[in-house]
Amino acid sequence: MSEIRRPGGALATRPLHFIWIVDCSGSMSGEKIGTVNNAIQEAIPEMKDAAEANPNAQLLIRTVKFSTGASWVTPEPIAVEDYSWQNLTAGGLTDLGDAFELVSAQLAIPPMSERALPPVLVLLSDGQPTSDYKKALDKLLHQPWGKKSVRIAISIGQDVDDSVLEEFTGNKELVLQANNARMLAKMIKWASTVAATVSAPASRPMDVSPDNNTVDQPLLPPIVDDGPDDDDLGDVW
Amino acid sequence: MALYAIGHNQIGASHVKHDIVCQDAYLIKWIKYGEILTVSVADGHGSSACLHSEEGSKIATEVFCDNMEKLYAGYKNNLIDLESYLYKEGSEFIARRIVRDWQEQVKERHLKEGRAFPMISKQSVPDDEQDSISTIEDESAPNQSDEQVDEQELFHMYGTTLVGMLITPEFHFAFQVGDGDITCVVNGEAYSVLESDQMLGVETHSLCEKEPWKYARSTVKDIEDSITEYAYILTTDGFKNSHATDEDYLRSCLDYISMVKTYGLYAVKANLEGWLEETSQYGCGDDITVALITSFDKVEGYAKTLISEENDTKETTVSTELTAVLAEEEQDQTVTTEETNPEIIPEQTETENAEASEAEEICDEEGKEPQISEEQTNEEYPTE
Repeated sequence: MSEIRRPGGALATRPLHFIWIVDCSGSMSGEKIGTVNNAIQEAIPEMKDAAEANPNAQLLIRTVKFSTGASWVTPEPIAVEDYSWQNLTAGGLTDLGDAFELVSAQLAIPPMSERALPPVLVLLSDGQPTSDYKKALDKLLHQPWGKKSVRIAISIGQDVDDSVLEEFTGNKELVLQANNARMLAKMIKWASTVAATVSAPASRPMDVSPDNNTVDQPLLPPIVDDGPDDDDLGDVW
Repeated sequence: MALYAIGHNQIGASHVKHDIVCQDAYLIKWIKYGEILTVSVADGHGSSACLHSEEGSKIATEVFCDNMEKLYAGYKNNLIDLESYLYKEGSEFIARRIVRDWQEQVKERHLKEGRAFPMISKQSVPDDEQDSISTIEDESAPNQSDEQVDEQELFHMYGTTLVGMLITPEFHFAFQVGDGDITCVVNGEAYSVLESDQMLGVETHSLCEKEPWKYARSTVKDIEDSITEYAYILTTDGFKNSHATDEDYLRSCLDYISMVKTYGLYAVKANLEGWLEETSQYGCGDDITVALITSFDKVEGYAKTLISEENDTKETTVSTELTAVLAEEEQDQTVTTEETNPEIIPEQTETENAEASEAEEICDEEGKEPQISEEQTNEEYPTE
């Protein structure tokens, strides 16, 4: 039997959007923003490796930074294989609502595709919003992909209003505490691995929660070990 | 108008990579050879809660086709009434029957395989759900304890979607629970027969959820006299999800049907595995199942042959007679004519595959009508 080349339209892997939402307010300056820059930079190669292991998902990364106002670091999502982290600097207020507005606009259909995988949103913040964020968060959570997104927050230091972060994640367990540089780096590393989990999805009926199993989305925060000696902990924020 | 049908289910690229079985199933069942058929396609869930979903999908396809066959038997002398009945009851009543049969067969399968039943404390079941208390006679299940079989959890183990059709000369009936697609190709255009559930991500409605008939969708379509050629493509969601856009998906539906016209169903059948393997590999990686139903085969008198890429890809047009000669000389490079193909045109004495074997079993000695007793028919569906 002769071999006939496949007819039909263009094929494509399913896009998986991963968005870092980074607090760049003045209180993040110094060690905090430095740790964020280093940790995310170090996480990128592992994200690339994980993406290679799941060739049927196209991992797309982008970052929104917020301080006085908010803006995208790159105008368009970038494929993980082409992605490189651009160091952020800190200074200004904590306009979290502006960041939610930007992300919300990107979770609409379009620009998102219906055939995408659930997007991953990782929020890093060390303070309290200085402007109204509720309206923008509500808008984000009501976007088709906002509801379906996997949302993680990393609470940096002890001055954070965790209730805000819990509103964002909708799950207390997905607000990760990082009170020092080592913990922050660890939490960022864990958050980056969530993309790999989401990129190999398994279909499930509506009434089966992803929490009921270990394959779909094992979003269990990293277990914090007893830790090293006090000398290695660094300053507690 | 004769009918032709082929299908293939292809294990997904990611399933191969992670050593997961294909969880899709399909069934083509001829009620009357070449004239009336029922077809179904099901996609077992990949979630770890659905560990026997490859069996659940197979059961679903069988249950759908069995129900359609019985329904047809009850109305075979008055298809107008059948059409009217399906129009009125298609979504809920039919769905309830299918769900009931699927659940019963799932329980039977679970028992037969000697698998452990998931248990739940009786006290944890709300009063208004007591009617879902298991009636399974499982000797291994503790009778005296405070536990009972958790049927919902049991059904989750076999969770699956289902799309299916009954195609008669007078009308077409389409049915769906969960994701997947039924696309009609007619007059050079492709369109979805049933609207999508518009669900995002990896969730879908399923036969295994509570009251799944609420989410069933169906439609009945008259066959217009002016339509001389039509085709249907039933697919699991892996096919559509592997295309860049919905337009690309519809393009593929049109092109696959175009290939049938150009090369014939036999050639398409022979190439489906490769096409779907490529589609999964460069697409979403999921299992893909496609069933094609057409009212035509390739254009008579011509056969186009594409020489494979290893032989410097080129296209030639040859007559049927030449094709036959080529077939003898170079079997690997020619499109076989339909006369040599027992799979596409259903013959009374030959089978397309395992599905056709089942079809034979339900036909009488003349191979014309299904053998279903009046008693059975009356029990299952109202008759004309």
